[in-house]
Amino acid sequence: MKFAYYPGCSLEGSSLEFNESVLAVAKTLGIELVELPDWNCCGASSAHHVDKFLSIALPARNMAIAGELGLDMAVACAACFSREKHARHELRADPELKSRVEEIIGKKLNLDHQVRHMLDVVVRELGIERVREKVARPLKGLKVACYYGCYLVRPPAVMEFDDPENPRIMDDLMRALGADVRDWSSKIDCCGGSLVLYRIDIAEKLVGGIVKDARESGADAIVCACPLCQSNLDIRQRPGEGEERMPVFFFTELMGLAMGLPDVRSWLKKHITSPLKYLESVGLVS
Amino acid sequence: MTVRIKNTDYQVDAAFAREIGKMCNAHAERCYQCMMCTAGCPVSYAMDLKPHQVVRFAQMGLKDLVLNCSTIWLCASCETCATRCPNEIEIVRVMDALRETAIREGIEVPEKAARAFHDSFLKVIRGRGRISELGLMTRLKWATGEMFSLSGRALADMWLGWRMFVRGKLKFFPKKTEDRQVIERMFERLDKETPPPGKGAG
Ligand code: SF4
Ligand code: SF4
Repeated sequence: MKFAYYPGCSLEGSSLEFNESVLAVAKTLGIELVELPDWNCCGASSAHHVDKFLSIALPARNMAIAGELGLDMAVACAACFSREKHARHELRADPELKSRVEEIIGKKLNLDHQVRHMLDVVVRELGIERVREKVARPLKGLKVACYYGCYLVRPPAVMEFDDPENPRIMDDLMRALGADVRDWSSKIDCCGGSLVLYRIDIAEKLVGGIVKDARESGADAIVCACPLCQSNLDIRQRPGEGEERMPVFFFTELMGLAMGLPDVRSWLKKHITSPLKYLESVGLVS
Repeated sequence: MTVRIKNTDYQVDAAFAREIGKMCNAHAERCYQCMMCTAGCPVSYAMDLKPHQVVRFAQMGLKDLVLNCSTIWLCASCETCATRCPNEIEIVRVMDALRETAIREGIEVPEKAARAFHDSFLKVIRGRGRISELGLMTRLKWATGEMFSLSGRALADMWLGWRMFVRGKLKFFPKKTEDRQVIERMFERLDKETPPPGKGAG
């Protein structure tokens, strides 16, 4: 099993523990990830805020490179995944746009190749059974709320990912790792991550609601599949009187923990809200 | 023709309505004002026009109202509205088309920090092909005149920046895309179609 891997900018910087854990977990599971040569930024929310053509041309170049390798693309960042899927959707629907984009990027696009998110690769392509086989230390006692946010699931016709109101793919994965997965109602709410650098007040309000809801569900931690959500929840939460800060994990970090991979501690040390004390308290790290 | 909303008359611009309709192909004419979009919108509390109003006013061609509203800049593109709209109206595409038009027409942006953020972000991509988070933050602080600010927020940002730096998360020289000519071509095309970020850039 081989994919053209697109890490995206956050995974080279503010969320490098996500990148490290994706690569380590993929290696353990026998998923070969070939980093896209000379990839570029997908344009994130800024390109489509300013110009539709740019918001399609930037991700299109990455898809063209994956096409040259003859591979489907595997994306770790949910926000990049969303931009690549949006571009693919528009390009498939509009051959004239496709040829204008090909002209500007100087490459041919082969849109038969898929764009997949790492969660999808692990759970649906590899299969949850194969993950279960690798679990060395089940995550007993770890009470988690799985947070999907916006990008993975909406709009469903573009993302083709999971039930947009009640996605379960990450819940299933966490259960296979032995975690105690809580049901809750904020799993697809927006955390305001895209607003964080200009309307932090809105982002903090939305983060507050999500963390509060996770607490009320009985969860001790949140699990994410998006670097923007993870940093936003990790950094912007404001615990109330007598409340501890809530750890926010990447799903791949918990996979690494359950598989007993050696580098877990170094990933977790990079969080702003350290999860180590909590993991010690439930006996999952010593 | 004009329409009166809350004691103010607004000009109806049918050509503008058609243009937006063509740009986004979102089928705003199907809207029956059920307000599902606004009810589920996480940011509607902070918007001057609510999402269902933007959809209807854009479709009516109330150009002044929809190009000057804060809504198009505060929308988080979370797609909750469009996912739940019973008429499958692509509301976020409407917002995108309005924002793009507001930029092209050089409209003064009510949410200046939002415009400054997007401009800074795109400048970093143009220069490197990828985002450098440190580069982005520095540019943004310049653009908003907060470079040497010592407000509580600025100090909190610096402290956070430091904590990220010691964790290896803020790099001075992150990798660039080698083929920056192709990136430049994309932006040159954009330059031709968009006036330089003047008024709104903060
Ligand atoms: S949900 Fe759709 S139909 Fe209802 S008000 Fe909003 S745009 Fe109109
Ligand atoms: S996409 Fe924008 S308008 Fe729609 S629900 Fe989200 S924030 Fe509100």
